[in-house]
Amino acid sequence: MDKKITYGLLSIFIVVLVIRLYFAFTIPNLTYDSYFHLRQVENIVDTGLPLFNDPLSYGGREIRFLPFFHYLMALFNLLLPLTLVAKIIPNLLIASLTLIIFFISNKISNNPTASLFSAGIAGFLPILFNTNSFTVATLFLPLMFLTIYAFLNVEQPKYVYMYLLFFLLLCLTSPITFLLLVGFGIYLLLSLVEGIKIKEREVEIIIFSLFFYAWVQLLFFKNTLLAQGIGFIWQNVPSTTIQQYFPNISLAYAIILISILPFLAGIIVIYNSLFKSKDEQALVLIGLVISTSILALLKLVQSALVLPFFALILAILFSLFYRDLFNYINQTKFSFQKIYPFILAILLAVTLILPAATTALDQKTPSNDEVNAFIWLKDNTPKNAGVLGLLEEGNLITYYGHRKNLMDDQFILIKDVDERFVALNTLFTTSFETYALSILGQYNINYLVLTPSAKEKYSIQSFKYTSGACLKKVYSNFLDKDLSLEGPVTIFELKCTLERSGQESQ
Amino acid sequence: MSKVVKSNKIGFKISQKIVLLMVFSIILLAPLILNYYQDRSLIIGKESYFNLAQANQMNLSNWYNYPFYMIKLIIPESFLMFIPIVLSIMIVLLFLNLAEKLEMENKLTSIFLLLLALCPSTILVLAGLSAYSLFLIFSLSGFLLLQRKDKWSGYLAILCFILATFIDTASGILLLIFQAIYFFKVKDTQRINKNYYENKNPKTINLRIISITTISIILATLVLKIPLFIGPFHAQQSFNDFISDLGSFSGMSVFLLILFLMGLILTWKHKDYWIYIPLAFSLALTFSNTYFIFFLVIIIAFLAVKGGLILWEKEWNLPELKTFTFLLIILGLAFSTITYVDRLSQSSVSSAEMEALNWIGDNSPQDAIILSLPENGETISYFAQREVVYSFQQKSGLKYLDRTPPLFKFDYIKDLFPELEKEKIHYLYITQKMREDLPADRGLLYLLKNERFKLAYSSEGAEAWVFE
Repeated sequence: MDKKITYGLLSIFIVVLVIRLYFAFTIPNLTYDSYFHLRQVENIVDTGLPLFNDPLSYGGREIRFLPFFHYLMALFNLLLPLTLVAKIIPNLLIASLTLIIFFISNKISNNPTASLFSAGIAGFLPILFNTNSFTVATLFLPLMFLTIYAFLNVEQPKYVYMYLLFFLLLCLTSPITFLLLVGFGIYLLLSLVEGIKIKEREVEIIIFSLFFYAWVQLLFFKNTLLAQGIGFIWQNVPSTTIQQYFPNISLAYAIILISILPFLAGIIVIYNSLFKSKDEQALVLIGLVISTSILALLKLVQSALVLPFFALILAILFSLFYRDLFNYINQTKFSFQKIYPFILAILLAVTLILPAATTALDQKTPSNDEVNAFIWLKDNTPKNAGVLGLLEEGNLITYYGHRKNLMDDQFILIKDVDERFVALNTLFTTSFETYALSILGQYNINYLVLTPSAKEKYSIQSFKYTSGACLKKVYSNFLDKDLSLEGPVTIFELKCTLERSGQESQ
Repeated sequence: MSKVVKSNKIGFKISQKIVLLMVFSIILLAPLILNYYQDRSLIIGKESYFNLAQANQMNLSNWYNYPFYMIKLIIPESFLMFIPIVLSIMIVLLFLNLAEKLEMENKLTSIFLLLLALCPSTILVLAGLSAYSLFLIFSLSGFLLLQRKDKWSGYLAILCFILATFIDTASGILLLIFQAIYFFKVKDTQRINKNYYENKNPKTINLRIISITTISIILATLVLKIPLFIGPFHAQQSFNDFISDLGSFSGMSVFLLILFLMGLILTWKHKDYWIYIPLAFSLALTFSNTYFIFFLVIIIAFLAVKGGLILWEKEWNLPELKTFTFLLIILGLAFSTITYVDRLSQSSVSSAEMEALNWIGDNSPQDAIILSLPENGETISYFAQREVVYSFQQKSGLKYLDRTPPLFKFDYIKDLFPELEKEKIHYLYITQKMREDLPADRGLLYLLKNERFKLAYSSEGAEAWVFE
């Protein structure tokens, strides 16, 4: 590889990593969903096993997930403190996407400059700028693209082994791996329609992948599949909040997150590849674009997982767009071949960097005040106490507070998830003390945490049933010695219980 | 038997037959053995209880219960569980003989049978006392008799086909489709028929058999009022019921489904389009009644085996991957089957439940009506021999897609009590599973706290309640 290209690629990687780490360390805490994974990593470090039987989540429940991400992070945790691992490693993994995307782009476009552009786009995609997210997606995406890279080179034996290794790890990382399999299916279909001869090796690898994926998922999710059937796809998300996890993606929103230039370029490349050039290798990626779009439109996968994948494929396809456009310009009499890359780079920078920075700054993370309140729970409440918090704060209750929550965002295998979700909302909105007490009693909740996020979400200043003697304010972190003053986070202790007789509901 | 060993590819050696029969028997015995050690009823499947209960009330529309009635009369109850094994062995032997006569490839036949043995829908039907077992015996006997070269066999074949059409209309139509395929597709059929019926035109004979079967189906449906389908014996979930790994009580493994889809693509080139007719028919009917999946899975397994064999016989670029892929398929199928057998066993009636039902039978008046979930309807009818309020088999045509029927949903006694009085319900049967599945803080289970309900019998979660 040309030295200039190597330096260029390394520069992109380093710049992306530095910017990501800057945001990661500027914002003090991690995103709400990260705390579930932190707890799992801690448990693996302590016991060697993930917490499949969680005594705190939902007051005690069974949970199943693919643990490779957590084991990998536990391995890093042996060298670095978890707080550093949680900020450095995910950002390193996402930054490494620039390198992977460069190699895939170079493979399909055979144009290193165009591939550098793809790497740059991948590095600054706004949708990937959740720098404080410690989630499985941060490992899943690089692994997924490494697998795709190996698949594109499968005619060489070493890449077959590489593919098998990455696919194995991918199957142990996330069930969303089926995106790849559906993409392969559409690739085969497109090849058939276009009359392109499919390589036998590819078919063999796809058949193997299909059975291997099914086998691994059955091994890990046997009980979940038996209990929830096809509903497993929707992860038992409460019906009233399913729109939040599987939303209708508007075109405008998708363009902002993916950025306008790669989006438009992707559409042009897909059109050209399907109807004009019939580029075989682009067909694999187009298959993945189509599978992702169909699955997202049918709401079979969470948009939060699909959009980054979609955006990265468009970033790769941008290299084909760049190559074709450059070739076209070279054929014209205009002499701006030299400035063309610079114009494009500026355009990309304008449409990517600002939205990326905004995404990083807008991440939903708990404030230090909120974190302190949850830490307070650990030292000042009985060990078997149940705590009410927002749905997204459920993981903070278990991670920092080490106490049972009413619910969190891990819905799988929870039988009464809809009832719990209604109960949680009711507890934040009802004015009826007796009703609230009956719900609190039913779910063994002893402490109620009211954070600024909860106040904003439900447009309340306090619980409407705090006027009675049943709720006692025990923590207010604005001035925790003077509880009469209202701090940003308040914790109430439940002082009454409601006795329920057999005749009551009759 | 000398004919049997004539060819490696087509004929079956006795040892091969014994191995196949043993595999079938072991898989069908597995739920029985598990139930024996878990102290559960040794009669498998809700359909078995339904048939045994119905055997006491013989009428024209359930004539096929007559064999079950005879079995019940002759064979002691403690030996009833071996009847399905005997019926299954008969089915396997009949199929093997028919496959030989039709010159089906040895490998295809044995793998097809092995795959069928691993299918949850086959296990559910063949491990129990099922009407579909009788259907298979009559149909296979009919086709086998058609291969013999004497006049009386022809008449006996027609008789077998007529008997097979009396189970339910849907299976009768499926038989008709297979007859049509047999007469149009199977080699040498016309020659053989010409020999049987001397100088008669074979096309006329074929048409005559198809016409007799058609008339028999019409008569059975319109005059004898046989049902369109037997079953379902569980609350249906249209998609989940197809895949046993998704919690279905029957269906097929996800591995079989993948193999089938491959088989569908790989066999498309062979232009054997005839198989798609019964496939489409069974698929359409399975959407109406998922108990019909038994037949769909048989066809799916056949296509899956054909596809699997093409894949196996093809030379792979990556031979290690081929070995590993087939190892995964075998492991996956075995894993699914073991999981299913375990679930089937756990869903069987426990000894405590049998005792509770026997208590209801001994301590309630003959005309008592028992309230429980529809999934318990067949077991109550068999053990307690009492009428039930809810059952999936009610003639009223009520379909309880929702597992929780209306009487379980009332939250107030002012709504529930008048309904119970109106329906003359004085006995309730509650199981441990109902306690786990139904909410305790509302509905019927919560209202059981009222003083008008008295717990009359309780043992290990099986309860009999009296409403006074």
